[in-house]
Amino acid sequence: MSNIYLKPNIGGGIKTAGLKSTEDFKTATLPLPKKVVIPFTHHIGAPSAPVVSKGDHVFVGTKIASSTSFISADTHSSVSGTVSDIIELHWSDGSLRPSAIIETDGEQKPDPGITPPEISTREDFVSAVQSSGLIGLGGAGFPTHVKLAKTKQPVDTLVINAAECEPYITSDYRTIMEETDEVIEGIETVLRYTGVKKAVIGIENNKPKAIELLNKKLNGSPEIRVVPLKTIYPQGAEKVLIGRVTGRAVPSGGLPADAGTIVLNVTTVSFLSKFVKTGFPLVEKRITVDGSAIAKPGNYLLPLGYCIGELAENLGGYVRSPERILLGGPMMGIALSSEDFPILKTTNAVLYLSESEVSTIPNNNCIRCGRCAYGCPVCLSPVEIDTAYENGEIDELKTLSVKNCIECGCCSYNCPAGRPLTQTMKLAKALLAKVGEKK
Amino acid sequence: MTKLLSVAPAPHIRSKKTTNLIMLDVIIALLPVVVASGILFGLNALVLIAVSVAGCVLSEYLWCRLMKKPQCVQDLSAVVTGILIALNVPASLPIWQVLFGDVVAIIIVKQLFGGIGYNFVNPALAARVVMGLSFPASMTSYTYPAGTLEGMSGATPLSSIDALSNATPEAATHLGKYADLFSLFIGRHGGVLGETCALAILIGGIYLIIRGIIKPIIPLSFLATTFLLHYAFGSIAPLHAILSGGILLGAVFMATDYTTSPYTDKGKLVFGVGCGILTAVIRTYTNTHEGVTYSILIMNLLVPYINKLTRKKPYGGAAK
Repeated sequence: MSNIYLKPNIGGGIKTAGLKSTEDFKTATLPLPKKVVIPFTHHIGAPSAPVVSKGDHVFVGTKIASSTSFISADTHSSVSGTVSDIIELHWSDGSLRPSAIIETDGEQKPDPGITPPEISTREDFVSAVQSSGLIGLGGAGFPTHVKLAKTKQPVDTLVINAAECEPYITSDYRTIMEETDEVIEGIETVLRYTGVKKAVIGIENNKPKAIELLNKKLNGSPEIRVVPLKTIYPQGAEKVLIGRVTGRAVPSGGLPADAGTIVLNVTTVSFLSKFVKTGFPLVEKRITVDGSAIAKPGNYLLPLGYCIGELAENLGGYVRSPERILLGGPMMGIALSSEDFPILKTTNAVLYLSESEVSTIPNNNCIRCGRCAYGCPVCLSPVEIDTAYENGEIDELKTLSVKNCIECGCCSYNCPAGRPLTQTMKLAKALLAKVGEKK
Repeated sequence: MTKLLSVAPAPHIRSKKTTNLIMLDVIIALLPVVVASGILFGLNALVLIAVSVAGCVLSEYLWCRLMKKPQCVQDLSAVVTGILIALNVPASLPIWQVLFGDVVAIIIVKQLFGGIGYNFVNPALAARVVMGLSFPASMTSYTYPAGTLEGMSGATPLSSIDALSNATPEAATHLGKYADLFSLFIGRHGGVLGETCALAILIGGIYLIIRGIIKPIIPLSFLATTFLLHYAFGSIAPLHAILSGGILLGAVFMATDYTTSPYTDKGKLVFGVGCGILTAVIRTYTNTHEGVTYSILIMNLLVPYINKLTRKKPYGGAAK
């Protein structure tokens, strides 16, 4: 059976300083913000349509945007209060995304309409999850119910991503430590409704306590297995993880199902187990807050839409001037241009980095050392893609398979000449897409 | 908040290993060889090295200045080239001749093709060839460390071995008398500044490998191939062959130059074996002394093709 799958060809990756100093910080809560800013669309796929307007009153869990197609997701209010305005929020890619500003009334009343979902079949499960607003919580934000739906390809393995390979971030680790039962129940729930026979939890071996705890609770479970992985970034990249835990490769341009797998983040399955019991939609996230600029780093359970500036104020402000504020980790996270940006469904960390924590190397000539190629987890040659892109060689870019790039950042990290290779990969992919459209 | 946030594409952290730190590590790795040349050949050697470094750095500085290009001497690559050129000349070379080599390496071989990363052959080796052709007498009048055995003036161990093996079939049995392995290892024999002391070169090479500056693939495959071929050809005793001439210096410091060697692991193996074959063949079947130099330069030219043929297969297969 397994010989129908490609063998994974995984490159070196990189060894980063772990910097996981918040790993022993238990999840805490913070005062409710005065207002939240919730974009209607957080996911990859068709944008959601707003179902609230200015002046509407909402409860915690009230739907504020509705999915418009199968690959789309609902969005819910994280607070009780009043929609004070609908604005266009500047997104990191330069686009504008409609978002609701909701002023909190401090009561945090849950929406009275919320009831546990009735699920008896896989179809029920998929549509229930679609109404929960759940999207991949690891960062990419693909609507979860789409992954749970029946596929043409046979799927025999559920892969749980608990690698958490980005430096600084410990929120998934805290989920495992504090919600171990929910994680396991969530996995069992997914196995039950999808009919997939076994699950493997891929986790980096820099989290021995979590591995021990999971193994203890699983108690030799025949269907769920923990697979410790070497601590090498990016073990948690979907394709790399599938390769490591199943020995199969996702073909170029394919999906995890093409390798017989469904991949879910550990926090995603924990949410699922809570959701099937209560029907309560996704309105809050466990966030790692770190970086040497912030007074009180730690892990916090925060309502979606909590703005970064107010978060800093409620955490005792800045002890150093923040040079760069990131949503996500330092390898793939997005640098914010304003403190008015909110926490999203896909956010797992907010890093307030001071100048000394951010590397800026001037861009020099490539010395052809090949460190980018050794680091590339999907075995591309950024050194040659860089040259081909600069020379506008479309055919060469195709030959070099730049479309396979997972944008993990290893090539830029490794480059001694400070070349922005990962950005070049993204630009090269965009260039190929543009050329493809014209034809 | 008055200070604006900086915005840049990910990743926001980078490895500390920058181009100039890599070059600094190469300079550190060359220090044992520099010190050994000072001990073996005297003050003259150190003067040549200092002049050569100054010549390269000045050439690079002036070029960037006059051509109104961003200044690049701070990347330290000109220092490395300067040291390597000096290590490739005999201690008795007139100073103006080494300066000539510096200008050839930096201006013609490196900067005219676009500066660091764009030279298609190793600048120091290209300079060695140009100097060898321009000043054939002074480039081959090897001086000898104090205390070297008599009867060897005017020849490196390789050429005396050559002469012997051409003359008598028992040459191999006499080898010990002319250059015993220990003398070869510590550098007590004739040659250019940097090639005689195997011990110093090995220390430098091990340093480069430990610091992750080079992978051992090229040096090992280069040396192993030459060793085996000399054994097969029966021309020179294999161990003498890899301890004499420029092969160790070439395998550790010249053939591992990033820009002019393949970046793939398989490519490095092909490159090392290629250098090894060419060296053994040139040494055995031609009359030139420059086996190592020419073999590395020829392989330099093949690097783009080797890279192309030895690229890793992408995860998930080639993109459609």
